Formats: sequence, structure tokens, C-alpha cells
Amino acid sequence: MGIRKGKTMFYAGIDIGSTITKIVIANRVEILASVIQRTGAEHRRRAHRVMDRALVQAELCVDDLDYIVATGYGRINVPFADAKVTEITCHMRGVSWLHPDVRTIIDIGGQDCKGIKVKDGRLDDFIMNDKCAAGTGRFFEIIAKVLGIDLEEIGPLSLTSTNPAEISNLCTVFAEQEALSRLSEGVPIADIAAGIHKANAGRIYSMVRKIKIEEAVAITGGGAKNSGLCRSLQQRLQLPVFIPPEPLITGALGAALIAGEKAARLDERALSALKTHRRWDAATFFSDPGTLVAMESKNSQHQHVG
Amino acid sequence: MEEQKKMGLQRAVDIYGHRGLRARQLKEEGRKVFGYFCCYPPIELLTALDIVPVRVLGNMDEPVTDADDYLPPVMCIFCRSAFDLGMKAQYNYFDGFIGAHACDGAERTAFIWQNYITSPCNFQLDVPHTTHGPALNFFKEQIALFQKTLEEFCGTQIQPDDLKQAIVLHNRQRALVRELYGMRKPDPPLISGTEMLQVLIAVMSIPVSEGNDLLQAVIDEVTTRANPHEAKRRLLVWGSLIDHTAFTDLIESSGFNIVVEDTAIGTRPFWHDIEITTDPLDGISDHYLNEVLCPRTFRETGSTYQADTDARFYYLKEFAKHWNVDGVFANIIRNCDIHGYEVPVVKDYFSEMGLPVLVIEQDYSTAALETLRTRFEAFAENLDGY
Amino acid sequence: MTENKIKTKKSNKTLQTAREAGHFGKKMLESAIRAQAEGKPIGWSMANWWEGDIIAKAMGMNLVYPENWGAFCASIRRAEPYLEISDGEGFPNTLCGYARNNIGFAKTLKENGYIIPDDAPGGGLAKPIMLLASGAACDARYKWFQSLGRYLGGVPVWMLELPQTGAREFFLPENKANNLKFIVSELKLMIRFLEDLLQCKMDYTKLEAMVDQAFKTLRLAHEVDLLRRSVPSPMVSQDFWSIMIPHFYLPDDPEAYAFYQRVVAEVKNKVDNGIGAIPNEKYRMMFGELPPWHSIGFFDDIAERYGIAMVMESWNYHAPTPMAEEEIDGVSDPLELIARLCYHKYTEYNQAALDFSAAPSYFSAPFLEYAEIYRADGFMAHPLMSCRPATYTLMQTIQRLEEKRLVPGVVVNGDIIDLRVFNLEEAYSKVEAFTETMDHYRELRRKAGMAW
Repeated sequence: MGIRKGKTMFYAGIDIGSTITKIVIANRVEILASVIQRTGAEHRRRAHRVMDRALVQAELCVDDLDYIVATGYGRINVPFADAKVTEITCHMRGVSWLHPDVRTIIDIGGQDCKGIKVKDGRLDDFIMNDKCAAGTGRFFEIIAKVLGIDLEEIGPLSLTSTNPAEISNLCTVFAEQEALSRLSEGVPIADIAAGIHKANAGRIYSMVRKIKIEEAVAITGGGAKNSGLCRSLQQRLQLPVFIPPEPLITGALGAALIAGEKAARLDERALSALKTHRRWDAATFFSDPGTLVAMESKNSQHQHVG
Repeated sequence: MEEQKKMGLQRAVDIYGHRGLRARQLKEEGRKVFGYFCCYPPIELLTALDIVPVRVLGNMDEPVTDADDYLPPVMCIFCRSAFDLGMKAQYNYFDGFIGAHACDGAERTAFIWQNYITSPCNFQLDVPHTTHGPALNFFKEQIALFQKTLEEFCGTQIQPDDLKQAIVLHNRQRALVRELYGMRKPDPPLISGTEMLQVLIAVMSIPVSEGNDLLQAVIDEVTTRANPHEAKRRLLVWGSLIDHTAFTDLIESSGFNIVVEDTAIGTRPFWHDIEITTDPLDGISDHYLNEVLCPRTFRETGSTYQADTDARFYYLKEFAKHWNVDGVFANIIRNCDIHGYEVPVVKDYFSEMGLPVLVIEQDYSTAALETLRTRFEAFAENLDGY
Repeated sequence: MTENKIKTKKSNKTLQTAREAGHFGKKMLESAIRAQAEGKPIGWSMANWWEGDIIAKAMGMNLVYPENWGAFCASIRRAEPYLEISDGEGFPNTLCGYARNNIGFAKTLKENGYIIPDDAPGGGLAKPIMLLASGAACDARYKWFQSLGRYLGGVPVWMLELPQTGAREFFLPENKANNLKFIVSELKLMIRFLEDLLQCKMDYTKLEAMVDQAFKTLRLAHEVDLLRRSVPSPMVSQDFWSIMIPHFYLPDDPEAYAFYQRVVAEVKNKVDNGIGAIPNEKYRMMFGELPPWHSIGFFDDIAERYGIAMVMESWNYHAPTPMAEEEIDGVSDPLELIARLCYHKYTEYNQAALDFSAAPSYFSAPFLEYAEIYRADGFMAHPLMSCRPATYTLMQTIQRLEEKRLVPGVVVNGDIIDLRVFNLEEAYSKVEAFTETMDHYRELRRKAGMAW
């Protein structure tokens, strides 16, 4: 794979979301491969298979990777990662690389939703909603089902509406009921969809404004692929938004960038040691050190006997 | 060394893990035990009467259930939890309960506590919001009434010398706590945030002299043991109290060492000694009103915003400098108004020092803790320059 | 599609004087706007139960009340932009809705060079020369004003303290004297502060006259409360919440006194002729604590639908019972009188607090007394999302009323700034179901041999 001095280095970022795994392989200058694959709850066991696909795309093999950073919800379940970095940092770095003018990032994921402030390419502030489905992909999944349409349709359909329904409830349980009520009243599906998008955009906006929205604004994550949501958000923000060409990979991209930086701080010996000790086997539920940590009971020491 | 170990950190862990145990033991031996809410009740008076003071806390592990019939859901969850434990008889060994008008939540909760959970002796201490001369005087008179109530209950008068002696003991505790804080200045600190919390909660559960012995043993232990802690980013915790090590564990396993706390289970009760005055109540009232730096006390606005914030928060600069702090965690128990209103000004103040602030409003529940991990990790990454 | 939109639901009220009372709110607002236009000294004030208002006004300060302005902004749906700004500044969104609204406005004002934006709701609020905070009832009411320093840097905050002694402790000898001494001392400090600020001296003769007038007005307001004990109720909460403005904010104004004379006359006339405020009084209910200002008409509806007369409400807005003769006989110092008045307001129900284990004497214990005095069949508790002080003791009040007075309670949720929290349809159905509960408890009281 080339001589030592001036050898090209390769880095990988792997972003394990709740249902989708994303991988970016890059050198210091360009992206060589990007893979997006649904892994569902099996991401723990499938991460290395997704990596295989990415390596094929990049025309590399496992030993070529000098540094691997894992991020996302499932980052503790990646035995072959050399470091773990939060998705907040990784999204921020990925988006900044693609569009250095971005100061506010709105990341709309399947299970959570985040606002990230960037200053001089570094994290300035952030806010997260990971408690409630409102403003996340999950919400749209539920409503799409209620409306009897595919998830991918809900955004474009909402764009056709000229009269969005007024949806007041953002708790998924109540919103579901409300959508059903509207349906039975004969309100057009497109209008209901539009109302849902508007309400969600409002919720996301309420959250992000807490960290002070500044231009330029970017939307990332699965929610960025929902054209209806993007338009509603843009209307709410009264600002133009930048949507990366592939909004799902910004986290993995950021992770790859950070991998590059971390590798640059290590010498030959350290890098080589990393490769030697990397574990490529599939993580099983009980052998994964990350899972073992997660399974430890934290509360056993504390008793209020009174 | 083994014996010493049993007296030091391990003892703190044991007491922390079984908070009421020592107090119950002492009660069986004939001592009286009083619970007190918040940092404002002057527990020196309790010590002067040989009463064991126990700080009323909540339990982040325990879902609030019984309190629901008496307290609304939208309020400080710590107060709800403390009351919930009270209703679940976890504090049923109290011979007395001292409430205080610290913040609204504490004040109302203390009233409701005294309505539904009866101890033989009760007192509600009004604490003025201002620090003007008349307020200090009034507060002293309140404490005098508190003293009378205690004396009536115990059937004995507090002798001035006993009170002075009690003050000396409590001041000694404060000095020992400050000394222990000093051991968090090195990098890595000699004692972690989790260990410190266990020690502080332990001393708030046992008589002052036992607490002083414990503190001394801990100091001896941490200065002689091989330091088990690694150097990490150094964090100052500001705001609502933390009273469960699951929280400090989470923070300290996400890239931080907590090195100093400006909270009610932190520096606030311990940072200044009570001046021993001819009439001891002068020193006591002055200390609790002027030197316990909780934002519930209104300190005068200066002629400019800058002067005002400096007057109120200068001490944070001292902490940040001497403990070589890298970042700040602003801990807001959801619905805490006292700290809530201060978030922007404190954030600004720290920013001017070059210190980033992570603000989290949390729900005082260990079940909801893990989701905070990413935030702390991201914050640590930010400090590491990612 | 409009069912969950905020609708202001005005009340028709039952008293003529209640319909006229709006005059005083307008008067307050107009005098503030005039003072602002004339460049007169403006103070932003919290409601303070006559402790500081009269003194400030006696010295020529024109007061505006951001708490009221917040309610106004909420009702015309203009609060949201200010809440957004407050959120963007980093203030938690759990804080008092009025505070967030005012903070957002204060930032806007600052960014506009302290010139009130043309489109400010209700004419907006001019930059004040001082902020009169209050230590009574609620922490927000001083922390909020303190936090405004970010936008009104250099504008001094005067923290007007009102001590809140414990129920049992109230009865300890010397405690009352200590409290009164403290309040009077603080008032003296406040006067000195105002004298420095306004560069003028307090005219004590004027103050005495204003305090005297205030006491007279409050006595009349209390007379109305006494008249309301009648069955059927001659006046309901819908009337009270309008009528209270003059006695709560302007008792020193002779016009307020004259107005109350007419209120007393109107209510007395009803009592003398056995005329109820509502034609079909079937149930008598109490309400705690802060009403849904935007939807007072809701109470007209439940009166019409179920015969519910709201006979007593909102402890905090009422004039206190007059103090005993020996309390104020021979006391001529207006500061002493004010101190006694306010201390009395906050402590007069301490006996009930002890008798019913329903401390404190503010917000909670009063309803235990009211239940008997006003022969209440039920209690409507109105928890507010962003006002904790008005909500903390509601659950306890419900518990104690049920347990000690055999008077049941119903919970109808709301908020002071997010008016969508108050769900009208849900409220109607809860109240309807509650009438059966009230029937049941009436029976229980009868069996227990209670007086009502």
C-alpha cells in the first residue's frame, strides 16, 4: 500500500443512528466513499458489514484505514472504532466543512432533534430534544401511517396544500387523534400533512431559538430529506436554509474529519498499533465492552433506608 | 492504614449509602434528631443543645408518587422528592423539623410538610430577601425565636458558651471542608466530585464532631493514597444542588473532573466562618444572610450592570482561577426559578472569563440521567478543541 | 378548526358597576402613557398589596405594572414574539410567563435605543427610572426585575420586602412587633431611596391623606365581601375580577372610593331584595387562585348551564378584614399603618391555618374559612403552568377542604401566558361532572350536621 514517507492516509467516520448506519471514508482532501444503510436495531452486529461495503466502494481494505471514529447513538457498540465522538461535534464539523458560513445547524433525526451553534468552525452551543417525538422522524412515521401514506410521500404531499390544517397537539398520542378527527371531517390529506409539518416546524423552531438562531442555517439528518418540513422551517425561520446534498452523512463526514486530525497527532508506531489491535468481529450482545458498561447497574450503592 | 480507611472515604460511602442509619442509632441512644431543609436554618443552635442535625434531601432514584396528592407537578422536583420521602416515612425518626423561607419551593414545601408530617418540634424560619440593616436585625430576631422554640422543647436554655462552642465546631467543619476543596486544586484532583459529594452528604447526616473526624480522616487519606484519578477537563458546577452520585459519576465519566461546586451541597454552606460575636446571634445571622451565597438573597443593584454583576458574582472568578476551571456546568433542576433567572447573566459572566457554560435543565431523576451523557461528552469535546 | 385557537371569552358580568370598572384599568394605562409622553418619572412595579405603591405615588412616581401588561399581551396574542426573545436570551421557558414577556420587551426596547416601538402592544412600557420589586408571595417578582439589568443596566431595583412568617410562629410573642418594625424600617429606607432618585422630599401630609383614603376604600371593598355572604350570592367572581382593580391598585384615589360606594349600594340593593347575581343559583363555588383573564365568560356559561355561582375567589386580590380597633387606634404614622395593613393581609388567616393544618395563611388557609362563610359547595382549582406561587398550595387546599369541610374540589388547568393550556371544552365537561360530586358532598355535609 505504498511507501512510508508521504503515504496517503485514510480515515473513516461511522455514524450509527437508531435505525440507519452511515459511513464516510476519506483522505485529507476528499470523500472516497459514503454508504447509508438501514441497520435497525441490529446496528451493533451489522456495523462491520456496512464498513465492508464502504471499503469496497473506496477500493480499500480494512488495513488501509489509519483511524476510525464512531459517532451517533450506537457509537459505544463499534468494537473497531479507535475513538468515539458525540454526534453533536461530528455534525457540526461535517456541516462546517461543507459550508463554512453555517452558524446554526438543525439536525432532525429519527429519534431526536438537535440545534447546534457553530463559531469559527467549533462548537459554540447546542440543545437537544431526545425525550419527546415531536420534531423527530418518528412523529412523521406515526402520522404517515395514520394518513395511510408512505413516509417518503408525506413531505411532497404537504407541499401541495394551500390550506394547512390547524394542528394544536404535538404530543404524538394526541396529534394522532387529531389527524384522525380531521380525516373523518373530510379535511384533505395534503392539508393535514401540511398542518403536521407546520406544527413540527414550530416545535423545532421553539427549541432551536433557545440557542439563538443565526445565519447561515443548515438542516441535516433524515428530516432534511423531508421537503415539506424544510419549507415549513424556512417559513418559520424567515431565513434561507442550506441543505447538504446528502444530509444523512454529515455526522459520518465530521467523524472522518476528526479521525484525520486525531491520526495526525499520532506517530507511526501508535498508528500501527491501532491497526494491530483493532477488533473486526461482530459485536455480540454480551461481549461488546460498550454494552457491558451500559449493563452495569449504577444505582446499587444508594439506599434511602432513612 | 486499614483502620484509617474505615474512618475516611469508605465511611463516607457507607453513611451516604444509608443516610438515616447513624441518626437512628444515635436516637436509640437517647439523642434528639432534627431535620432541616436547605442551608439557612442555623444548625449551630441544634448542636448547642446536643441535637443531631440532618439535612433533608430527596432521592433521584425514587419516582415521586405520594407527593402527587399534595404538591403540583410543575415545581422544583427536588422539593417534591424530599416531601415524597417524608410522606413515605423515610424521615419518621425526626424529633423536629426546621423549614425555612429560602426559596418559594422550599418555603411552601416546608409549610406543607409541617401540615402533613408532624414532628414533636417544628419551626418555620423566615429569611429576609434583602440584606439591609433592618433585615439583618429582623433575621437575628427570627433566630432568637427559633432558639426560644428549641429551648422550650428541650426544657433547657442554651448557654452562650455552649452556643459559642457549637459555632467553633461548625466553623471547624467549614475549615475542614475548605481544606478538602483545596485538594481539588491539583491536576488531577486528589478527590473526585463523586467522593466529595459522598463526604458532604455524610457530614450533613451525622453530628458535627463526628463529621469533623470524618473530614480529617478523609483529608489524611486522600493526601497519602496513590491518586486513583486521571487528569481530565476541570469542571465547575453552578446552580441547583446535586445530591446523588449517579449524576456526578455520569459527569466524571464523560470527560470531566468536577473540581468545585457553587451549590447548596458544595461551597455555599461552608465557605465562610461564623464570626464569634459577644452575642453569638449577631455572628450567626450575619453569616447566614450575608455569607451563604444563594441567589435567593437579593443583593443590591450597582449603579451599572457591570458593577451589579461583579458584586454578585466576583467570587466565581476566584473559584475559576484557583481551581483552574476549564468549563462550567449550570445545573438547573427543572422549574428552579432562583437559578433560572440567573442563567443568562451567569453565562455572560463566565464567558467573559473565557469559560464556556453547559446549561442543562434536568428532571432530578436517575432514570433520565443517561440521556445527558451526550451533552457532557460534546461539551468535553468542545473543550478539547474538536 | 378554530376550537383550540385562543379566543377571548368576555364576561357580561352581572353588576352594572362591574361593567363600569374597566374605566380604572384604562385610567391606569392612560395616565402611564401620558406620563411617558410628558417625560415624567416612570417606575415598573409589581403588585405589592399597598405596601409600596401609595408611597411611590405620593412622591410623584407613575407606576406601570408589567404583570398586568403581560396579561394584556397574552389576551391579544402579542406575547409570543417577546417569549421567543426571552428564550433566545437563554432564560428557561418554565419561568413566569409575564416575566418572559417583559424580558423580551425590555430587550426590544434596548435595541430600539429605549424608544418604545410604534407597534408595541397597548402602547408598550417606557424605560423606567426604577423597578419596584416585591418580596411577597413569589421569587420571580424580584429575580425577574433583577435580571432586567441586562437590558436596563443602571436602572435601580428597589426590593420591597414583605416578611412571611410561619403560621405557628405568628403567634409567638414579639414576633409581630419584630415584623412590623422591620417593615417600617424598610419603608423608611425606600423613602430615602426615592427621595434621592426623584430629588424631592416625601410630603408626609399628602401620604397620610392617601393612606387614610386607601383604608377607607379597602373598608368598603371589605363591606362588599361581607355582603357577598348572602344566599343567593348578590355578586359573582366575574364581577369581582373587574371591580377589584380600583381597590387593589388605586385605593388612595378618591374616585375609587366613590366608585366603591356605588358598588356597595348596588350589591346591598341586591341583598336587601334577595336578588341573586345569577337567576338560577344552584351551586356555590370558590375559585383559586389567578383567573383565566381571557376567558372570564366561561363562568357566565357555567352559571347559565349548571346554575353555578362563583361566590368567592382569589384570596390575594381581596381587601383584608379591617384590623381591630386597638391595632390602629392612635396610630397616625402612615408607614406604621401601611405596615400593619400588609402584615395583616398576609397573616390574618393564621388561626385557620393552624386549626385546619392548612398553612400558609396566604393562598391556602383562607379558603378553609371561606368555605363556611360563603357556604361553598365546591372549589375550582386553577393550576397555572408558569405561575408556581399561585399553584403550589392548590392541591393541599383541595385536600383540606374535602377532609375538613366536606367541600370537594375540581381541577381546571391553565396558564397566564400560554392561553392554549386552558381547554374550554374540557373545562365544561369537568365542571358538568363535578356538579354531581357537589351534590354528593352536600349530602355528606347534611349528614354530618354542618351548617351548609
